[in-house]
Amino acid sequence: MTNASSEQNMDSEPDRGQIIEQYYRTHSRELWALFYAMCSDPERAYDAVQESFLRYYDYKGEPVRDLRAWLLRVGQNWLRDVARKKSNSCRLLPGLDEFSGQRDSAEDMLALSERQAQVRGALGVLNEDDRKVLVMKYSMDWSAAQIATVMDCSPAAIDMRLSRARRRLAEILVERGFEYE
Amino acid sequence: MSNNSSANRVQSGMPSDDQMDSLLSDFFRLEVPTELNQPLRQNQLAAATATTSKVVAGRRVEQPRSRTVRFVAVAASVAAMALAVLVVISGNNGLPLNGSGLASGTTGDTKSPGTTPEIDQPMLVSPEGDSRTPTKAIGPDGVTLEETDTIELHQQK
Repeated sequence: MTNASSEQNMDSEPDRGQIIEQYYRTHSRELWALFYAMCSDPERAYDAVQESFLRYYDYKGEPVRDLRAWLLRVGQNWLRDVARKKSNSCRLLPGLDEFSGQRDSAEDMLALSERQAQVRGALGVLNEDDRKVLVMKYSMDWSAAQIATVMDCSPAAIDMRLSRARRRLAEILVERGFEYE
Repeated sequence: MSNNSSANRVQSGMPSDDQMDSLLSDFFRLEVPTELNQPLRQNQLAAATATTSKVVAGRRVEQPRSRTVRFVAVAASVAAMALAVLVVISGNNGLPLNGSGLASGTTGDTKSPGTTPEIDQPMLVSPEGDSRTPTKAIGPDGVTLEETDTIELHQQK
């Protein structure tokens, strides 16, 4: 709620860039999680975050009252446009750069990459609300109460949904022959 | 109760809650882009804005030209067309052109240098040559000096 008042004054502040940067620091991860829950693609979700902030930076229209909602809407629309275009660009194995230095051999890196892809695929099968709860819980380490404010329901309902989503994900992984370490 | 469900899960190959918990934690630790931890700098935004504007400009089919350049281009094309029309008209009427190098009476047809001449057709060459003074007949049949050059002599069989 405190954000709302600061957001209202955001457009009238002289140093807009600094304010956007500050907002990015505090909200980019949450936006990424929500976008990721929509598309199950980490890079695309990150692009959606960048795109939404970039468009706000160029935005010259009426003052934005709720910046978070504005950014979410812009990112969602961008994701929809991208999904409609069905861009199938050729990409390298995801995340291999981040694995370098953590694992010893290329085989380990590939195995880890495959595991990531398997879990990502299983997450994609879940419905969006279940996926959203899992993403907020594990990517942002949010409590049930924090997630409840975003999902507009009670913390108990979030706990229940979390438990159900985990179980459903485990079933999907077992069906797909996923091997646990 | 929960112990029973956990035992059932293990028997059916299902992972426990703790396993799923650690699996998801590890998964998202690698899944979250590291760039999100970096601050969003103004120059990044400016660079991104410049990139976007370049992309948008690149989508244009044709860059807008200045009015002067367009005027010069149009004038040049009109002048070229007018010159071409003048050449065609003068060629058809057989009018002499001053300084063009074409003699009066010639059709003004020109052939491009790459084309091969048509050998079977006779060339239209004036017996007077380039000189404008007509030569006189050198024989009773009225054959001029220039025309004798084209007479071929064959042995009688």
